[in-house]
Amino acid sequence: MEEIRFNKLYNLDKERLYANFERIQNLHNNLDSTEIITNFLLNQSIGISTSEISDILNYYQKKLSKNKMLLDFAFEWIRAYKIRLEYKKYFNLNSYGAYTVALDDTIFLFFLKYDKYLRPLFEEDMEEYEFATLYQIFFNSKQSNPINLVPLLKKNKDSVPTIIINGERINTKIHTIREGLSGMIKDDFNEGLPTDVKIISYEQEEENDTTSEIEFNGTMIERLIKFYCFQKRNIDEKELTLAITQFLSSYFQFGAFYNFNEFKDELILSFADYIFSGLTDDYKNYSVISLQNELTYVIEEFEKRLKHERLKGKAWIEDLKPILRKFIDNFINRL
Amino acid sequence: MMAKGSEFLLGLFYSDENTLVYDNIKLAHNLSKKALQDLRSISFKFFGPLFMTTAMYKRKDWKIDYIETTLTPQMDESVEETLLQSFTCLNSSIKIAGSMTNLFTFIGSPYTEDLTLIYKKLNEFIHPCIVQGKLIGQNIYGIEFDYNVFIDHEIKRGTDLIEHSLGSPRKMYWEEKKAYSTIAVIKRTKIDGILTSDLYTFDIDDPLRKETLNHIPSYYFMAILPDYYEKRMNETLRLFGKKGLYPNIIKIKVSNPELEVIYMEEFITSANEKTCYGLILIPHNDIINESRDLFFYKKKLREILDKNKDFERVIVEFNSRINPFGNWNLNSDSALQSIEKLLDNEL
Repeated sequence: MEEIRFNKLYNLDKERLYANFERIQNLHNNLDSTEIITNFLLNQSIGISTSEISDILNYYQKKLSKNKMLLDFAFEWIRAYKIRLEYKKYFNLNSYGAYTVALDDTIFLFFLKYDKYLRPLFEEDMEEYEFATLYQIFFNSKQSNPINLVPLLKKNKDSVPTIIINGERINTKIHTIREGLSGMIKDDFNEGLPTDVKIISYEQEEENDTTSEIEFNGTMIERLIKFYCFQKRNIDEKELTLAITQFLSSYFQFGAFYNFNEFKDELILSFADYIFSGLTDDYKNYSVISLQNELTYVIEEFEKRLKHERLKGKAWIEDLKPILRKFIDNFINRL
Repeated sequence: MMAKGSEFLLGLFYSDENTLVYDNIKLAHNLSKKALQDLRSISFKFFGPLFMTTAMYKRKDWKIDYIETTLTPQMDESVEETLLQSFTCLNSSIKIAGSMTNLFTFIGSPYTEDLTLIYKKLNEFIHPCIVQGKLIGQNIYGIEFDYNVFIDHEIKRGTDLIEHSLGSPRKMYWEEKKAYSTIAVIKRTKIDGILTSDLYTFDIDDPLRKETLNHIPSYYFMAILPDYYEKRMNETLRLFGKKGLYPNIIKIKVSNPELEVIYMEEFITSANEKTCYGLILIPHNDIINESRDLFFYKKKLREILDKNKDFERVIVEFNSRINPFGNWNLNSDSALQSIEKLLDNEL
């Protein structure tokens, strides 16, 4: 019933699409079926590069239900584009005051039913993070940016678990849809906003973009160093601990996972920078580069002792706090 | 979406499997701290019959879906200028690991809201978000999962979503064309502030009385609903500062996974008197031949009230087997106990 309703609502001209597919098949009869479908999708303005599309097709082909073919998957990718257009029309007509309302309202109106319709295309044991990734692929709003399947799957594996209790899979579909579509809806919501009020992420998720929008903030460290330089009195231990905690917490978000190499350089540069900014002229015997070099040595010693490269934000905060505290203590003693 | 500056009341309450209640209340003006506290405790009273049904009628997991009222100025108080026209409670119940969780909302609005849409959002989206989100959160964060923060966040989010839906034009849904049969009539009159309520239904020895028990929680439960919830709605409105308004029940719906029962009522007021006629309805089935849609019943009830038709003559038009002379009083404990003992007797 759901299939019939959806097919009617977001109708594809399958005859025309088949004709198109066959034309491409005839043109590229030396290629295998995945490559032909890749070319077919590119021809339909789906995806950017052959490698991007064939990675996705190869991955999800293994997940399809027994009675479904890769071409069915391709058609659903095309249909998703159509659904996006309808959703966008509705989105633009509504003035959403908050991103979460936009997300929840459009999921309820468009994507709950879509999820119910789409799932039978795949085997029952396909995991929730794979569905979330699929939504991010199908509804990729940044059409000019290629989709990197493996990192996307990896990221979603942590935040979109498949929960099985007593051998029974628990329904967490709404969470999956929310995670899968939050990116697209956030972009659409931001489109209508002035630049300075754009939402980065409601829950301040770590972004996969090359420019990180989350930075270390050490203004309290800078103030404490300045206080020491002016007053020439020892910095209160509690205040120092608080300043370091604030520095680390400004970057590491509760519940998110981080690889050490992702933030190591940023940490060194920012920490050294804030310390240096806090020094008055009388104390600027050090250059910021020498501070960075000293800190690099300390951080690399810490790295040698690491048992796990990837930890939750809170764990990194607890591990790095004593290291950075000791560094500042030693630095101030030398001033 | 509700226009800015519109008068509205909106509260969302979540009772989890441990019967802890979380809430978010939004309205067009500020409430005092005491009123907010009282509002929070009143949610338990709304949940009262819900807990009662699961405790006492375990066989079928009945829950209350919604209570819809219109608002009229109090007869004995000066009219307060207000734009509120309707006041409704909607409830969603989901069972988790054998325990019931309930999410219900008060909505006071200057419009007749699209309750079906709002109810769907509550039942198919907001409530499942809370249930699923908790499982996910516990799975990802383990003991670090801050349940209180999570619930507060989700309830606020749910309130925002409901608020966004307010003011939408009301659509016609196919359920309103569905056929229902009358199994009982309730007459409630209030004269000089004194309420008298009576239930009219099948005779004790009529086989239809016992058959009907398979389709409703119980006669007792259905009979107490209108008085009970009218009082609760009135209390709530007072806490919201709406002393000049009185709620009049329009419809109450209860259901379980297989069955539903609707109570619908119409009223008329004059001087110090208010008269309400209500029908307890079950969907068309094999046990009762007479069935009509809700519009028919609404029209018929209005006719009785507006034209002052003879009550005994008219109620047999709803169901010829209802005894118009055998009233069951609903105003005393002993009377209610009789209903439980005799009408709800399955033997």
